Amino acid sequence: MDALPLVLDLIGTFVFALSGASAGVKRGLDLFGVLVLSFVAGNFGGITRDLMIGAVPPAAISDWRYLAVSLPAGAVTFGWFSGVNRLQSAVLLFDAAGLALFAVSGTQKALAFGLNPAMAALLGMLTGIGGGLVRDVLVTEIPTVLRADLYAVAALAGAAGLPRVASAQAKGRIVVGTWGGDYARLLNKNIEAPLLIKDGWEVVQDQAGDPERRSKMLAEMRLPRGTTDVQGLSAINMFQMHDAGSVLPIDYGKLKNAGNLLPAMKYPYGVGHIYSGKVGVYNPKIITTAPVSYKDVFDPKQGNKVGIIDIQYQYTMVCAALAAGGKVDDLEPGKKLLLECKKAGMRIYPTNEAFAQGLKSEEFGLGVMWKARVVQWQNAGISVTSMTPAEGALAYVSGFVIPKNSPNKEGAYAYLDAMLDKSAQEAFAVDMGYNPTVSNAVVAPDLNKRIGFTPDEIKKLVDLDYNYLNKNDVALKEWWDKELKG
Amino acid sequence: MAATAQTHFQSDERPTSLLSATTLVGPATVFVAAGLLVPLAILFRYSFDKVDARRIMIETFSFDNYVKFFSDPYYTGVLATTLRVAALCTVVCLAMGLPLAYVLARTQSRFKNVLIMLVVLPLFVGNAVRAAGWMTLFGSKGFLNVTLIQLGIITRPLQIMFTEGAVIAGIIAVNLPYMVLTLQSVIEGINRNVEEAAFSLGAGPATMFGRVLLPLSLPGILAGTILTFILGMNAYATPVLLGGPKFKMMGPLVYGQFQLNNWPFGASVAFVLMTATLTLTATANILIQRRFRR
Repeated sequence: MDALPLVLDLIGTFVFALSGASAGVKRGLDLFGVLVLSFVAGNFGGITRDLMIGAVPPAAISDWRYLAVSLPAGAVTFGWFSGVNRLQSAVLLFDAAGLALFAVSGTQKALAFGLNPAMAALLGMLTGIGGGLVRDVLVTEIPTVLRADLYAVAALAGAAGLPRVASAQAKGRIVVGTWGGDYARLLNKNIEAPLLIKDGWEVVQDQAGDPERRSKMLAEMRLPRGTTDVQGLSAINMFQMHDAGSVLPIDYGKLKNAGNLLPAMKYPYGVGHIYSGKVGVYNPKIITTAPVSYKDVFDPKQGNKVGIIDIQYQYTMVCAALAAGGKVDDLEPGKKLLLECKKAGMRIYPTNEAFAQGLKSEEFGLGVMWKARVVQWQNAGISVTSMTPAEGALAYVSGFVIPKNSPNKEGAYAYLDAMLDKSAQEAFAVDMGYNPTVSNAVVAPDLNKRIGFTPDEIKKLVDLDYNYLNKNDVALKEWWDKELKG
Repeated sequence: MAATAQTHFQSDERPTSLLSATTLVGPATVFVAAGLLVPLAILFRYSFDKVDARRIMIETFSFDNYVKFFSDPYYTGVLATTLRVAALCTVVCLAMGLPLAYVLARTQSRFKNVLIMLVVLPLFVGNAVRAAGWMTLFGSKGFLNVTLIQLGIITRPLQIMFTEGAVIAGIIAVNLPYMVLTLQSVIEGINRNVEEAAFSLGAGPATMFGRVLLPLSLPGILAGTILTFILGMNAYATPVLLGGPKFKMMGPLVYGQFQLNNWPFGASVAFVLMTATLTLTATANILIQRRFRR
């Protein structure tokens, strides 16, 4: 049993045990009687259910924790009845909560033992009301549930809601962690709707920025069941999650389309979905001599005609390092160069969008950006040209990983396979301007000229040193915030 | 008789009232405890941990994060900027809000409700949207610069966006309604007769304001000041959007640390901010009340 249902079950047991003990004290039973009543009220519903579905010995007897929760409730009530009684309305509130918890956990267990949903709901109700029923019988009262009919109905209603939720899951639900906005929309349009939902999969998107989703993955790591089946991340973040031990190694044998995947996009811990490269961008009206390298872009002589983007600090620093003769794992020369550029008047824009706005209003005319994004800007009428730098363009790869505790791994592989499908890959090239990661996708020649790279350029694509960047991320960002921006 | 009443009171009435009190206060208490206090306590514990790229953080107990904050001029600078901006905004809000609130409170106009609605109206628009409005006004090709260039007053656009001035203007615009509404409700509760009594005894407007209106409206001024100061200290959207990447206040700093997955340092910055805000408002509260108690 997962931790949460167990905790809920134990809380429910405690609350019902309180109600049982109160009934005992009111009837003047001795300590033993009160303890018996507390155990019975807390556990009898569950015991009956377990006997009926054949889960023997019942959890309430085989698991010491149920007893450990029930007896203190009885003892406290016996020793301090006035206090517990004064809190009666609070206890009533908890009683309702306990009822709900029991109804749900009871139904869940019955479903897990293969009962049909209707009977599972009835058993859920029995779990909820059974304890109270026996409690009232033992103190010779007509059971509350039989008099106040709403009680059982409430339990039944709570229980009946669950099979529907659970049965939807049984058909196969895939939960996809993704950024919101265009990417999420295109995932739905090009992958989920045509390739998965049609086949009977249920696909749910969990949209959030990637830092939030990465935190969530790390926080969920210790749980046996996570909440997502695949997570969309950039290559460096895929590596980070792999390094933290939170993702499943990809079994490429399970992917029909793996044979078409470009070798560079086959990470042992994740699958590349789309890629582009960091190219130089310039406005020919402002920059009259066409730049050909990162070195031409990060040139202090260009003064305030150069712009960079705050949120792209990692890539910007690596580009500058390459410009200054450094390497992907030696950024010091790049830092020096960036400081010189800053002194010369280089502009810093907070986001990609602000950068585009600045290009459009001709505040500046030179920088670096993903080739795919440049295509989108050109489509939006911004006067800008891109060039593949002589040092080799930095590669940007975005892909998907499977969290180790993904509840539906079969679904996760189905998702990855659909994402590598020829049609989905071609549609992403058209809609987003990123390059396909499979060799059998066909991109129209005129589109390829704008978004693609020549075989020679592809050979020269530079991959980041994920390990280096991951280890130094906090320090690099601090330098960026304090030294460069400060 | 008295004894019966006593028994009656004890056996029946007292538990009932206590019971209903529990019922009424219970849900809110549970909500606040579960939704605010517990997470705060957890966050406080995080602030003593150590950041780790692989596991978010390593559980230890050290004051390193706080030492890092206070020993680095960059971070103390951010705190100083935040205090300066919040204080300035509060003072300006008070100076601009008091006359406005007085007029609103004393007006006999038929359109009083409309006037109050006009003050509230900006609150119907989110902070980010308002900031977007300022951006079209302040940008280098924004309304202000284009107008000034067209009029020939300046030749090159002024850099207003991404400056502290832009942030202060933005925050004042956000906070002013809160100040005005607080002051207006308090001034409305002050009897007009006491003002007229002051005048009839020969006080000028300035004396009346200093010796009658100001002390009587002090609770409102205090509440409004504290409200706008706290809002200013915790501003997020306005400094991010109008201040740009180089301008840093505490709110965006906290967010940035969590984005970097540096939870421990983010938590300690959050607690520095909270402590600074609470200390300053509490001190101001005590000082002002003591001064005017006489």
